[in-house]
Amino acid sequence: MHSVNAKRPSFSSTAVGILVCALTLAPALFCQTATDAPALSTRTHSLSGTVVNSVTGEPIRRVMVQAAPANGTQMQSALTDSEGRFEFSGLPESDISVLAHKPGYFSTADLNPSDFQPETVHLVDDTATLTLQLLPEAIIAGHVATAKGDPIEDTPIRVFREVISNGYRRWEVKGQATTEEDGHFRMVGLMPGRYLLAAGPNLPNLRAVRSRGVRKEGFGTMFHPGAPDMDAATPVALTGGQQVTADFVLKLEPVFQVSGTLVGFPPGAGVGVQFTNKYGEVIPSPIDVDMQTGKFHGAIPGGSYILQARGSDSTGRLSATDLPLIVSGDVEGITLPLGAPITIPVNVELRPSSNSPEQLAAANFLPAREVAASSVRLISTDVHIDNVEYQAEKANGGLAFRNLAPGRYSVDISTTAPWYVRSARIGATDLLREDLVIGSGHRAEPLEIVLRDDGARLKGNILADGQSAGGWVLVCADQELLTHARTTLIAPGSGFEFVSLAPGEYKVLAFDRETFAALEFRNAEVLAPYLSKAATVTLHPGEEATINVERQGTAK
Amino acid sequence: MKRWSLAWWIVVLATALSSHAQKVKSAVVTGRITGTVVHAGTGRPLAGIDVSISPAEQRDLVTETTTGPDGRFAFENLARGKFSLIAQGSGFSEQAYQQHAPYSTAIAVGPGLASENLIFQLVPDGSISGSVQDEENETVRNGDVLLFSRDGATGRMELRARNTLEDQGRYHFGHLFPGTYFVAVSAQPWYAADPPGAQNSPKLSMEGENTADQRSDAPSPSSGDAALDVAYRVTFYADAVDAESATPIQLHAGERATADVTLRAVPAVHLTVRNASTDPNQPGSVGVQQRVFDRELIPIQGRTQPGPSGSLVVGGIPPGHVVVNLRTYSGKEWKNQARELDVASDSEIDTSENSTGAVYIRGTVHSPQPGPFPPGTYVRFFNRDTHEGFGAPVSDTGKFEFSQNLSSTSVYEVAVIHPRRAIVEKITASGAKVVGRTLTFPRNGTVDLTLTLLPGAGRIDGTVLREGKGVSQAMVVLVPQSLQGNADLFRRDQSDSDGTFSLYQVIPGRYTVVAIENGWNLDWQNPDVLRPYLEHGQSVEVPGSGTYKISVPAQASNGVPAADTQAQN
Repeated sequence: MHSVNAKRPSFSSTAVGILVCALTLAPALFCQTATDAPALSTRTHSLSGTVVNSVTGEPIRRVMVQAAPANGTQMQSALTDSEGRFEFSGLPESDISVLAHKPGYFSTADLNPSDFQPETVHLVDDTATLTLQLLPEAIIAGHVATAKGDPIEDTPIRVFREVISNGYRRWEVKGQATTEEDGHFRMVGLMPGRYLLAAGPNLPNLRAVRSRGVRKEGFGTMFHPGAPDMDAATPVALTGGQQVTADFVLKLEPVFQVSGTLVGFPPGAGVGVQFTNKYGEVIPSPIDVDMQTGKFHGAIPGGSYILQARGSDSTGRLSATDLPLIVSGDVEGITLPLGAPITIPVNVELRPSSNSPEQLAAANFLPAREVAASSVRLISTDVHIDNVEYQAEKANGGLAFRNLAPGRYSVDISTTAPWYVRSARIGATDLLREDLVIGSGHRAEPLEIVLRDDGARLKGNILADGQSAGGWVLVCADQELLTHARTTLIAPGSGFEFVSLAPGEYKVLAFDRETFAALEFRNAEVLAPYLSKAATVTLHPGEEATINVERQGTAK
Repeated sequence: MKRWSLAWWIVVLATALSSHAQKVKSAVVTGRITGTVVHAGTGRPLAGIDVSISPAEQRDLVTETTTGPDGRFAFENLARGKFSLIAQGSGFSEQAYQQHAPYSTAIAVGPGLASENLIFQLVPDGSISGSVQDEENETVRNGDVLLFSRDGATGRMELRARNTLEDQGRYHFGHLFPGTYFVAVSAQPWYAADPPGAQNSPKLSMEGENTADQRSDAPSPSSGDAALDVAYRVTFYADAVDAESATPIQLHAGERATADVTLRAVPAVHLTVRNASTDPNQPGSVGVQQRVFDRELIPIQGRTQPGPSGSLVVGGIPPGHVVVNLRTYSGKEWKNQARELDVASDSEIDTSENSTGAVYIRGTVHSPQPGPFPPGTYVRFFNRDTHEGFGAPVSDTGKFEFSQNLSSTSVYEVAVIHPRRAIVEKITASGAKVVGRTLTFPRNGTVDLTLTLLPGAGRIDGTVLREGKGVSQAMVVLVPQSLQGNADLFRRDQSDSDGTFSLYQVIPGRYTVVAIENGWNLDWQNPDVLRPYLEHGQSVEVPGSGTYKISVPAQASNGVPAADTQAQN
């Protein structure tokens, strides 16, 4: 019996260290008779328990524990005592959701908000005793200094946490800090996981850079441990309660001036100019823009960057320009034309397998097309930081992507059965097999999507040690990008089923949940070792095929 | 002849580099600035210090060097003129030569001027850091830490810096010069909750409250017991809840002081604001602030919830003296008002009772410049001590009018802003008290003001002399004839290496200029301290916007020490 506490609007899942479990106080089932019913409503119950550190097992004092009856009566709150104990009395006969939180600790709900299921306890006695666990935060502390050992103050430190979601791997910014006078920094509140750390850049201000006669030097960016960029960096693996030291030694390097003029932005528009690297990370370097004249002036160490200009007018229309730039000296007189907003119209064509007039008429009916292609998205594949995606929206009787930033994208199309994606093209580019590259001066060629309805059905079971098992199933067409792979999660004892698969050759793979959750399966290199053990199947139009797949992964 | 030619070429080069050089056509480019950077505490020469100079009137033309092992630095081939001299290094914040912030001594370069073998005393950075804990020795992760310092001369308390605890329960104030400091912490217990019976509804943002604050993410329980209905008072180092009991931190040059603070939860006070709004869809808002050192207003992170019939209830207020800023809605219009009150226990404010009333202020601004006032012209009244202020737009014809609800009577200065602050030369008022160039408003009634703007301010260029020679590093004070209520007529400067100084934006009138050697610790705003120096000062009449040249005899400080002295051993 699950009592999901979503009914309680006063709970916020974003708070630090909330642990939720639900239990039921139900003595009535056992000892009450109908004649006692009037007394029932006044009968109250007590609930006590302990909150412990899930790493050390030690009790945690002064944890805020909140007991919220599902029947809407008053929630009770208390702090645990020095032995981590809490006690509530006078609780009504009701499902009780219990939360625990304390700064510096995480609950299972914090750690896995999307896949969290409240623990259920069924009580048969008047008093319930409960043990709640909280995971202590991890901490990274360190020091930034020159090769001579002089501390470097005011150096920005960034922490990125690896997030694998739907087969994409991203680095999410999880914290920022600045070194103190003595070069030290400290980053608290980190969940278990893999992290990258970057220090720098620490550059002189623009006034100093523009002053004549001053050495123009600053500290560039360095990833832990001593790597020049994200690709070369070694992630730090943190577990609950762990304290890790990460020190940096930064070298002085020349800082160059980059200046020029923005042209073509509408009057009154807000305009920003920034440097990013190839991972999409914005470099915290000084840059000044004069909104009146469009002149900009920045300073940055040598390296290869993308100079980005973004403008938006009062209606929110974006204009954007990306200029790849290799800086090895002062760069002056750049003209950065702020292009018109990049828009890509999306045309969806339905090609029914039957040529009956009704089918054809229905296919030309706009709402039918909108239902068939329920969502069309562009997901950035070159930005490694955070998640960048665009959704096609209705515009002028059709769909279109608006205000796109230049970059490399994968197309993601969700269809409604019986429709499947037969092709998706922009000009000569087959977007099932290639990524879409949008440059600054992109022409507004439409994305042409063709859907068909004669797809195949694929059913089967996952096998582990010869037994039917639960887990994730992934199907990918042989010739297509893995960004188009489809996945499904099945419970033990049930089978999987994919409908409306385009005819063709497929690889079918199965994984246990833990392996799959950490698998960047949209990346061909990562999936390659698993593909050799994949099942292969060829699907014909309208066919229903069955296949059993051996489960891969580490879990038992 | 050839030598002359070379010098001439250097002049040409210098002229090309510096437009300033055009003003000194006869410059002979042989000037040097040399010296030794020493530790202000020990006198030991400091190596590896970055020293830079720039022409005093062209600060972006910077020339840089680094001191050698003997602490020496040298700048050669300088044109005649004044240069500001700045140094910084590891453990030493950027500071100007003989700095008495914001003043310093520029080095004059030219024939017969002493610009060599300077001793540049560099004051090492100090710091104050500490941890903030609660009474159970647990880290307080969220809160504000304020650093105040007492001006060595005037004794005035100034807010120097503000930090957040940033999840670490620790704070750090770096790059501090020697002086007297105080640390205050403002925070709320992370577990604090309103008592049972309070309405369970989403938190409203409070004016002055950072709604992005982490606390707003925390669950707001609708119930709790007295142990959770608590707040922290603003707490000063070391564990004092009133400013008088705060312990001063005497920070010496280069000292790294530690000041830990313990916060103790006290029962919170609830403030009910009646009649905050007549429309449930337009709830009013309440901001609660507290004065620290009778000056700085800092927000209290209270919890505001709507109560019955248009009222608001603010929980989580520590008992004490508070300033309550109200924004109320009467069905037709929004109204801002401020109340100042003591809340020792649960209290109420009824916004419909005009307990203090409002003062109606109207007036005219007269400008010496013809034509209408540009749009955006604004008249602003502000209190120099509390930094409180209010004001109103000025029409193109110079008229302004507004009502103001004053939390207390205090003394206000006046400024007219556009495009820069125009200087108000004369104030006449009916209904308000004018002392010098300040105003004291009544709590209610009507005040009529006439503000006359200055046609132009004057400038005084002068030289501090003793026995005919220029005196460096003297404190120069321009003292108005009437000392009362004229704080904004005073001007100060520090004499440069040749004894010269400049006083800008001088409002026409009669003044006395005094130059005091080693005078930087004198309470120059205190008439009693200043009076003995006036008879040896130089009187000057500034009739208008011209530049007036004077010379002022140097006086020695009469040795009345200030509370604490800058490290200058």
